[in-house]
Amino acid sequence: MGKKMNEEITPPVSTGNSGMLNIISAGTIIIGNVYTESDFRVDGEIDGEIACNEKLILGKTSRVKGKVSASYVEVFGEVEGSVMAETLEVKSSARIQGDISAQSLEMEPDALFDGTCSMLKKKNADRPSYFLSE
Amino acid sequence: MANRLYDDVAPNGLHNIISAGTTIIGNVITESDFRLDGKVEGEIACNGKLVIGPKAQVKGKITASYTEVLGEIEGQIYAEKLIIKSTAVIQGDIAARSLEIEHDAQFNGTCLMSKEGELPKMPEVPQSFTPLTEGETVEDELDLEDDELADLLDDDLKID
Repeated sequence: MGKKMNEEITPPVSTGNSGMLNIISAGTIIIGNVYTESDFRVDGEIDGEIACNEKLILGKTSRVKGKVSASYVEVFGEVEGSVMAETLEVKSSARIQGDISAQSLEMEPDALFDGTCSMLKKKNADRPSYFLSE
Repeated sequence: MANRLYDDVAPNGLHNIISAGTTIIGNVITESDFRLDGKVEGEIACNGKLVIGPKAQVKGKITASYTEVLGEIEGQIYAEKLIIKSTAVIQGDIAARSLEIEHDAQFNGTCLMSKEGELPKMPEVPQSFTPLTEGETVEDELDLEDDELADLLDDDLKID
């Protein structure tokens, strides 16, 4: 077994910050926008924007059609729209159609990505206006 | 193997949880259980058990088979079985086949304990999302091990 890239990843459930977690399981559809201050795990479908102040994980069965923005994003599923993050990890099962922008980017082999990528070094310039707290 | 689980699979494959501090502006349609502690402005349609926590606020219609309300609702609630707890504040109509209201709950609106056929139907989950084939569970498809899953999920988050 080769060394896994994510051996040190913490499980989504244990969060260092508020300890709160949002989960949208597979088979769930949200038609509308989601704004959250805590970690967010998506395995379902969201037709709208996501703005998350903490860690956002888009699971393998997830499909997002809209803007995604969070501090830390891990994409395993499909995204049709832009992704904005401070740290962005695009996993091998991910399919992104849209622009991405991050300060730190990682893309695994076999990920599909169609769009522009921009990496801005300035910390505050990236923050979208709909982040809940600054 | 344990790390693989964390990477691309939810700790508990089936429940939805929206914690306090989260706002959803739009509709939520789900086939599985749903624990809501945040705010929803829009409709909720849940085919499983829906628990609306004490800090939750919902403005809109709620349709579920089993609903427990501990928070604030402004809108209609349709449920097969509806339990309104003491911390609940409901402004709007309710319709249920089985109803329980605890001491100190606040409720303003019409109540309809409908006969067979009068309860509104559950909305269909739009087919844009690929459903599992019949008999297949999320666990089967994702090849999970139950013990490890149960351990990952905090007791607080479990829905009984």
